[in-house]
Amino acid sequence: MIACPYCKLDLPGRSFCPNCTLAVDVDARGQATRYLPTIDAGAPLDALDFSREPFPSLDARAGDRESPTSDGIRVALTGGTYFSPLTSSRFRDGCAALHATVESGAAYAGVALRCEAVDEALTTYLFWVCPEKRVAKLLRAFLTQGSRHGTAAEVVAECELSRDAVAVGRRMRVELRARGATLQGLVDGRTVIHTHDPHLGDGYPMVALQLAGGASPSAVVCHALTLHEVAP
Amino acid sequence: MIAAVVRCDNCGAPLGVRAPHCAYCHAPQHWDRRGLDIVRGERVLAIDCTRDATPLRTYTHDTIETERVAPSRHGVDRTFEVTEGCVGIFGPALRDAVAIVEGEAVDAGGAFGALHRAQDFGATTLAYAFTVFPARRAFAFHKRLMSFEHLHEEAIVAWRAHAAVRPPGERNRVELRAADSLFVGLVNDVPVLRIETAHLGFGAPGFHAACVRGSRGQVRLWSLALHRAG
Repeated sequence: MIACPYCKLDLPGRSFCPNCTLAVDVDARGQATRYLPTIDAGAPLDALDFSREPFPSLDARAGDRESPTSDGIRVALTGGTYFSPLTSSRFRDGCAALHATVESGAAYAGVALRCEAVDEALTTYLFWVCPEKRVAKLLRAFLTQGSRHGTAAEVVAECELSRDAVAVGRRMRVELRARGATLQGLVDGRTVIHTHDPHLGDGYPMVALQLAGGASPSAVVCHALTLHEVAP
Repeated sequence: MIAAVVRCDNCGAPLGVRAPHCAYCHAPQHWDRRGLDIVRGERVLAIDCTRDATPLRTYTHDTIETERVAPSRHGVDRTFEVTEGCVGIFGPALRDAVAIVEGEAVDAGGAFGALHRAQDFGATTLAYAFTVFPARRAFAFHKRLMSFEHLHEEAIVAWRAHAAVRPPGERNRVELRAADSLFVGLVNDVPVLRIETAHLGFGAPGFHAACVRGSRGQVRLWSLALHRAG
């Protein structure tokens, strides 16, 4: 019996895993490889220009702060994970893109999709980029501020970015697209992560920022956030 | 038509409930024409609690959740004395499946039910829970967050009385069927719950026993089963 490359359960000779819904191609030697559909951005849902408007409501986490600038909202990061209190209505399938500049230091900037609150915690997918480390990461995270539960994050996928792709002080566009269990992370329009994760189904999109572990305080300017449907 | 496991009519790909198009073949989906229901398919796992050990996890360490196993005319009598709750996971992570828990509340405090889509985040588990509270002859559907010292329940469907729920001392068969974001709950084969919720898309099936009234509750488990959906 062939095992599903994702959930490792038996594949009863089908094109799709009945347990985790992954599409698979099985070759003549019986090797199963994952097939992931490409997600294209469809009609626009919303566009927020942070040089002209604030985050819809402000709910900065302890130690972090925002200030308006001529080209966006500057968020000073001193620790923890920063979420904008955005934004639109909840959706399952969609695309969120943050236009941002990491001004200095080792900070991650990106977007959260399918963000949902439970008790003192949030469950979410996070796709963010650290220009100083030249790395892009997609996480499935359980984040909490209180003491009742511990924070946990699993790296779903990560990749190194080339020196030309991102740089501290340079504006970048970090986008996460989700359709069903397929997730696609793009940096400046180029796909860098394309993977399958069926765990989280729907929720809200948000801007997500974080200081890299052990890094000194940093700042990120958030220029804009755009939300799109997925194309048919 | 019954879409037991939600699939595209054109190419057979798994679909999200109410997705406008198939992600694979791009065929438009017509949900107004599609009757959505979930049927119990092939049985993939069965645990007879009078014979087999139950797969138990305990999250509370400051209270004692006791599993008492005593000989009985049925085999063994597996009783849980619970304060906050104990949980067992009895299958692999799945999207579409049917979890069935058969048990009885021994006293007025006991409640129990089926879990689905249980996901671990470090030491915390998040799951959907379909629960019966026999003393009030009621059921509920929650998102249940369980960590070592804390239990949090968020009602998706709050406690609702239903004649299908049998009182303490009688067996109740609690069945939770899931296909993508559609959940159907049955008590003693009577459909009592039907809801769409898409937060948790994947995870393991399980059971839970809890105390809903008073300081301790007792629950006796008879059997656990896992079926495919459709």
